[in-house]
This record gives sequence, C-alpha cells and structure tokens, in this order.
Amino acid sequence: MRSQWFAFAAACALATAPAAAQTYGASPVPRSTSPATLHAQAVQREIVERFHLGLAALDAHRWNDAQAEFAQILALNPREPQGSTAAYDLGLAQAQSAKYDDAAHSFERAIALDPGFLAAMGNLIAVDVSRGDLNGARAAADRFVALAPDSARALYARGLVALQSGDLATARDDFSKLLRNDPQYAVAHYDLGITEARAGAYGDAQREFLAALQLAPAYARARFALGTVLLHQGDRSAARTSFERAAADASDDPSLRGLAIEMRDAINAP
Amino acid sequence: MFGRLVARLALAGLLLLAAVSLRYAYVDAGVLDASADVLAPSTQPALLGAINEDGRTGWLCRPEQAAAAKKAKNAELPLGLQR
Repeated sequence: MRSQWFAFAAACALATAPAAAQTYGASPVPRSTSPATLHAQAVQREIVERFHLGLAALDAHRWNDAQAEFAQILALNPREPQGSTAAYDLGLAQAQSAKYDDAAHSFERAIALDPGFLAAMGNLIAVDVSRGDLNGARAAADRFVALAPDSARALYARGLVALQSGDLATARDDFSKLLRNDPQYAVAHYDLGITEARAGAYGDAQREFLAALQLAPAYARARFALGTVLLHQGDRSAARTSFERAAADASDDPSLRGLAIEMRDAINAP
Repeated sequence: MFGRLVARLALAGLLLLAAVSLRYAYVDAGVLDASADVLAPSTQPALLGAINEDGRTGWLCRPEQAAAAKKAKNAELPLGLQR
C-alpha cells in the first residue's frame, strides 16, 4: 500500500515537471480593490506603454509623434527615473526637429529631476551650441566636467565651447587631459592644434596636427590646418604640399577641397 | 662710368627683389586671411540616443555609459578619419 502511494506521488511529480519548467515569472496580480491603487497601477501601465510608443516613433524618425508621447508621460507626473527619462527623450525628439529652445528646456528639466544625469548634460551642451547659447553650454559643460572629470565627452564638449568663447587656457587643459586618457584620439590632437594656433604657438600647433595625421593620415582638415601653420612659419613649399594632399583627401567635403585647391594655387601665383 | 652702371644694376636688382618679396608677402597674407576662416575646431558630437522606461542607471543604458566613458570611441565622439 505504501509503495503504491509512493509510485502515485512520483507519477504526479513527473507529470507536472514539464509544466513547472515552462512557468514564467508571473506578473503581479492586483491584490487591491482600492480605487486609488487601481488608478495608480493603470497610470503606470499607461506610462510604460507610452514609453514604448515614443521610442518606436523616435526609431522611425516620427519626431512629432514621439514628442506627443513623452509630453503625455510628463503630464502623468511619473516617479523617478521615469520622469527625468521622459524629459530627456522629449528633449531628444525636440532637438531632432530643430526645436532647440524647447529641447534645452527639456534637458534642463531632466537634470533638475536627476542632477547626476550625464547623458542629459551632454545633449544639453550640444543643443545650447546649436541655438547659439554659449554661456548656457559652458555652464552645462562645467557641471558635466565637475561630475565626471574623466568623461571624454565632457572634456571634448567643454574644450570646444571654451575654444569658441576664446578661453584658450580651458580648451588647452581639456584637450590635453582628454589626450592623457586617450592618446590615440586624433580629433583631440587636431583641436589642441587649433587652440595652439589661435594662441600663436605655431610650433606646438604643428606638432599636434602632425600627431593627428600620424593617427589618421586621411584627416583632410588636419592636413589643411598643417598647411596653414607651415605657411605662417614661411615654409611655402611644405605648405603647398599639405594643401595639395588636403585637396586629395577631402573628396567627401567639397568646400574644404575647393579651399585647399585655392590655397595651393595662391601659393603658386607669384 | 662703369661703376655708375653697376650701381644702377644693383639698385634695379634690389628693387626687383623687394617687389617679389612684397608680392609673396601680399599673396601669403591673402592666403592666411582666407585660411584662418576655415581653421575651425571640430564639431560638437552627435546627440546621445534615447533611453527606455528603466532609466539611465544600470548596465544596459548605452547613452549614459557613453556620457561617462573615458575613451573617445566608447563616448561616441567623432573620429575624424576623413575630415
């Protein structure tokens, strides 16, 4: 009798084993009948669903549809991190449709909700530069660098903003630090070269342009900049060679190519 | 007589040399002025991408990882191989 009972138990266990293996983590069943709780759960489901719709719209470059979804999420007062994330995604959709003022406001809102939001700071700098607000870009860049002093994006972005504002000391510091962290980054050598050229340190500028070209030999803009520095230093023949090569390498940049040819021919003129 | 001729030739040579130098300087100044306009820094990087409802924390959030990355490649910065 006892052995029959064990056999029955074992048969039951075997029969249910496959079903157990196929069981997925069940989503929690609402256990409340409270209207407030049920409403909160419905709102949360709507937020998640609108995120999916908004992200799909962003993927499909339907910027207005994306903005509508993320704006609707924000109107539902989502908790964190969904509030700052919705503001960030809204800013992204606005920036893609060139609404830079609105985008800056959205990224600022994202940062206000989550003061450590680095991606929002990075995008805010780019948007501020696009709308010509160099002071705003610099403030965001300073905050970005303070929070993430080794971030390549923070150093690069602040270096560019500083260079555009004429703050050559900060630009030099940021590009130099970026290069200490990542010596193989040709663009940082180029930007450091531009900084040195603007400071009148043509020897240092030449060294940086050559370093950029060693890492990326087809870097036409660096080749052109090298030609300019060589011309400043009176080396007409080397400058002409640089412009010639820059023209050849700038096949995908017609304006740079035209300018390089113009420079080469102007050196030939006398 | 011969000395005067030599002096005139030397003077003419000097004037020619000065003219050529001036011409070079003039052309170089023009070239430098024009080139200064395009001696521009590189552009701001492209915007970082969208983030889903889980937010920026966690290892799956690429935009936030790119914002914090130490290396240019991981930070999605322009690489400048062509320009």
